[in-house]
Amino acid sequence: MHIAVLVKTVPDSEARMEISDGGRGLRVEEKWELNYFDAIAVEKAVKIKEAFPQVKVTAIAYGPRYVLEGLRKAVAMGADEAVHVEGKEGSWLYPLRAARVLSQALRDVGFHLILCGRKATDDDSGQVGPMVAEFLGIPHVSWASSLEWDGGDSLVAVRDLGDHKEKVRFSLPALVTAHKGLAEPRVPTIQGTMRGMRMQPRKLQAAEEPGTENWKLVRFAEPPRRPQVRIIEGDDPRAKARELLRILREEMSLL
Amino acid sequence: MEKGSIWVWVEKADGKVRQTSQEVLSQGRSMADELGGSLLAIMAGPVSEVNLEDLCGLPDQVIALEGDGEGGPSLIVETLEELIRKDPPWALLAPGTPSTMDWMPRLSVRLGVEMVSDVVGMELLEGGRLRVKRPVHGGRFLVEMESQEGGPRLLAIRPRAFARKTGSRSPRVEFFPMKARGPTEVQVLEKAQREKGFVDLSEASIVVSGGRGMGGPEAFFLLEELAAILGGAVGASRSVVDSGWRPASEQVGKSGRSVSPDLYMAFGISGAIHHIMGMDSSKVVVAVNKDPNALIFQHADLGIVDDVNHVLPALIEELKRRS
Repeated sequence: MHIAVLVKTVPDSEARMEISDGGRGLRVEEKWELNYFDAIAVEKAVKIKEAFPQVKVTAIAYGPRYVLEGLRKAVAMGADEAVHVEGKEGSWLYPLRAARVLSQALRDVGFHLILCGRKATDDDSGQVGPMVAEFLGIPHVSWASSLEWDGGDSLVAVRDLGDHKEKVRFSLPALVTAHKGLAEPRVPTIQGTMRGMRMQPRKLQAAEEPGTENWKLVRFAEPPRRPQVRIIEGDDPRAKARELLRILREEMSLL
Repeated sequence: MEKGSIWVWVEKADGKVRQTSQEVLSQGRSMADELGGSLLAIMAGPVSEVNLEDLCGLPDQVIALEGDGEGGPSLIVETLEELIRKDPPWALLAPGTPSTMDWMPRLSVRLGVEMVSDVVGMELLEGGRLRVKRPVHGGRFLVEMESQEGGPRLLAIRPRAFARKTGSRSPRVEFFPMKARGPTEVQVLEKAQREKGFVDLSEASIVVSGGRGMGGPEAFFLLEELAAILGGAVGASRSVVDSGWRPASEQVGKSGRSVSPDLYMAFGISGAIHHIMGMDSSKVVVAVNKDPNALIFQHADLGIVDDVNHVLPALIEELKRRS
């Protein structure tokens, strides 16, 4: 059993970012982290490996040099191998291109089960998982909050879709996108972290087809700023609650 | 191909057209009018159980996909691909729900055109170009993209990004078969129905959220009561979910849901960037926190510096008194 995990490296939540090139780009402070939902996927893969020693886990990343950060983390958490598909800056914004490149790499690397996060926290698109499955002609299960494998031919997953849950059964090969609840990403051990630092990823060249996008990036913009907060003063909670409701109703026409 | 026809994917819940779909239909209507084309609503599953008035008089035509229930993603993709290849629309719009995000990326691959998720703004420019806006990095920035020639424009629209409107059309309904070509690869074993009166977090016009400052899981009954009075949904911060006080489905933030209600009330939430990323696009934000330096106040319109366990009961009582 070979589990391939797709890992994206995204700016850390605390990383400073600003608009550059007159709106054409984003300058990001060099603080990276493994995408939260991909970390869940890695954890789940490693958990399965711990239960079934014959399982091999390979982490795959696409993008420029900084994506090595995410690969290191995946190896530190327990992935056996790392694959780096080299790509250009800015590829984070084009899911179809990323999915095409990743599915090509997956054909090279081989897989029975593919795991990845349900979305990345940088572009928030949530497209790559199902797209990779379509390129490879395999089924996918998205938003999995639970995944059980007993070593047999089929797996059972629970999809947490917010307003309802769904329990599904499927056979391999397949792709599953990880949602919160699937696993809780571990903090790597010191030995794991060392392994991550030393890891030498296998390098693959991307079969990129630049310029085929039917959407062109125009610019980045700041969202509208909220004005300074208006604090409702006073000592009596009841008076403050009354005043809050009055403002919401009379001044803001809410409620 | 008819000039500028717009298709909208319509979702139902409990036999009713979902609010998010009505929002997308409204936006689709405006676009179709600007382009001089027609608006077509596509629905899967038994159309007979849907009240067509739920479509708000917006579409000119309804295509009802008939087949085995509502179909899984591969079934929807195959059917839509067939329809699109026959008569390509100018754009296909769908509400950006987990179910849409299950099939639209696969359709994008089939058609070889990029799709855009989480669209919050749309503008038709001269020469028939379309400019769309979407949040990235959890709403810290917006990115604007412009459509190039060729292919239907595939757009998943963020819930509550566009206002609902009504029209006066009575659409004609056509049926189209949705048949599986092969065996279903993903078999649904069990579907937990949503509870009556359930308000989906991303659809709610009012969200009341609680954080650590609530003091413990038992205090959330106050939030539930407030949500019930206001007809809103309950949300939670990450630390509250991680502590097991509330279910993960209620989490608002970077690793949970993104919400943009008319009113977001944060009780005992400190305002870590994780949380802000999921609610900063709300129209009006009220923060209640006993720490005057809590970061949440930098992202709020109105604030009360006090213990939530004093303010919440007072709010509930005041609301009850007036109704």
